Amino acid sequence: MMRVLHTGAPPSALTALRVLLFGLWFLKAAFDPIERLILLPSVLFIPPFPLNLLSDAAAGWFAGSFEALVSLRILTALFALLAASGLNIRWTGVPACLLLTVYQALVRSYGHLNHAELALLLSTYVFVGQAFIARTPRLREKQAEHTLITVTFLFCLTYTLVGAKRFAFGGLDVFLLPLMEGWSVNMASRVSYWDFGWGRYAAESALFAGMLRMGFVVGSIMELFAPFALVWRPFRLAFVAVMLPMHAAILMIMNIGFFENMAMFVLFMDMGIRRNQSSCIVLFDGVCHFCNRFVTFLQRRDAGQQLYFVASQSEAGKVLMQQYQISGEEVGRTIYAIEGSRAFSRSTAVLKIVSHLSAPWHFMTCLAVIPRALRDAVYRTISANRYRWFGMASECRIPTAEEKQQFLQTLEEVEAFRSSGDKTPLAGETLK
Amino acid sequence: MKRHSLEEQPSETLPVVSPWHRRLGPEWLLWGGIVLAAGAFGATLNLQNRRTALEVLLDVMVISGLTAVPVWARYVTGLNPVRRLFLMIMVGLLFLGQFAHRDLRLFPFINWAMYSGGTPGDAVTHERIFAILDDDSRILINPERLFPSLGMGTHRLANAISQRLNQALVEKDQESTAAFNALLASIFEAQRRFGDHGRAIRSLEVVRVSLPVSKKHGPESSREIVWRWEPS
Repeated sequence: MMRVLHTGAPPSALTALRVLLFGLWFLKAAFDPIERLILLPSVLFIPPFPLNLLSDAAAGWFAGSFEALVSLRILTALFALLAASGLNIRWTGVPACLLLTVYQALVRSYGHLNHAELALLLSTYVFVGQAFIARTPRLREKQAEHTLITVTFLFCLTYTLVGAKRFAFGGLDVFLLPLMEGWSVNMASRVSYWDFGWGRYAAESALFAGMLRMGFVVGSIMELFAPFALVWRPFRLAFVAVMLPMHAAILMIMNIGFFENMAMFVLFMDMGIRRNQSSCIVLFDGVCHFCNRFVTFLQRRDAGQQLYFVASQSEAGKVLMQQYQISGEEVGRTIYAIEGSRAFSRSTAVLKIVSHLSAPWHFMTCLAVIPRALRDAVYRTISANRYRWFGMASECRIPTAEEKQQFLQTLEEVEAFRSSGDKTPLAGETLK
Repeated sequence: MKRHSLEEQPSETLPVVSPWHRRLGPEWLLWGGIVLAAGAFGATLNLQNRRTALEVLLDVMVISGLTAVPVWARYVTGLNPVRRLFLMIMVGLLFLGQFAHRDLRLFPFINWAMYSGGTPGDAVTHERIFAILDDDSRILINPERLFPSLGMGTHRLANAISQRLNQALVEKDQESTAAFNALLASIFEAQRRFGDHGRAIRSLEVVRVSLPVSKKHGPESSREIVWRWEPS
């Protein structure tokens, strides 16, 4: 059944998008030495909007002033960081967008565009614009969903514009003539920031050149129809499967990095889908600070209230350990996720547990592709040092009144949970 | 076989037939309008251009095709007017930037064109800048690494170097020559400050490299020193 991507996305998905957008800008501003641009001659400086609103003298002073560029860099990094942290996005997001526009205009003044950076900039505008719309309480509903859909739609539309331009202006010639080989050989042989240079093989191998042309055709078709990724899952999967490797290939072949675009491909992971609909009991070490913090973390992100927590030191914990033949020594070493009749331990348990969380946390389940031995090795290291690193409580965690609904403490509560079936939510009153 | 007239059919089984424009979704008209309006904005230059018309047609086709998908039409029509207006404005600005061809005025709403044409040839050329050291040895300078703001993931600076060199070589006037020399002076200074070799540079040399697109059928690769620069 068709559905619009991100429908029903939870607020945590909006947080993830905010961190992604402003986090990327923070990294750029923090590590990009834009003050070096003062060395470039003024003859190269042709400022676009909004720098062209300044007089020539003022624009020239700005581009040639070390202090001005360092200030721009510091302020951009600062506001991007504040916006990423979620500190009143309407107050931090607008200055961040203004500074980013000036920063991008400055870079643009010295030459060709970087389309990947611009896609990120436009997405940032949309994010802040949607935050402003949500200022009105009646428009606050489904803000995450609307923001994610709008950002994804406009991101896809930039691909469409590229594809339509290429088909209209390039015609068949752009695909049939040896243009792609020429671009690849030239870009790969130039002195670039990156030096992968696989494009040189296009001059040597007819097979490689043929693959380049084929990839160019397929990629262009995908680009043209990109917005359909919003509504049609098979196309979305195909789009990601083609475009993500294509961006990586462009880096390897032509030394051109679409890093921002690649990072923004997380937008094609459906934030509105809950992966795991069943209930799960988390059996944890109640005296471990780290485990308790992890439980609190889970509680805050368990939008469907599917997780139930049992401290191994509680009566309920002892019953479960007996039922699942878990020794006391073992439960001191690992967390357990109990789903139906099966109990999962170590990293697998963690992945099972996060699969119940709302987006984007449940995407961590993709870490299951890492061999279990490797995952468990990391888990064991943390587990073995958790008391040393995070400390140990003198007594088992006692749930607060609000937490009680999700905590099973006694034998009766475990039995009531069992008899209520997986899908019935537990309520403290109905258990006794 | 008994035939039922429409009056005889129970009302709940009547096929729901909505006008064709509703089935497509009313929004497609608006989307199409935005694209056309944006196209018309650049009409002074482009509307008579067959390729621009084709580009507009392709954009309209994709957007109206998407709007014909019921879930998307429902989503857009169900949007609050403020949100819908915001979406329209953003889409409109994107198209305005695409068709108006005035990158400098509408930045960051720009023309999204990448690898959409060119002239094929047997060989491709680019420039390399070498530093001549005091002992006459040469090192290759990487301007993109000296200015990471421009160079990382792009060929901005390489393009600027090629463009300015071509101007200086073709026009041979004082202004173009001075402009290219100023660019080389910047690269020299950046290399002196941020370069990693730590040795004194005496002068710069610009070498034009020509490479065959196909080694089997193309010409031999060649190198030619096209420019020399010394600090005054």
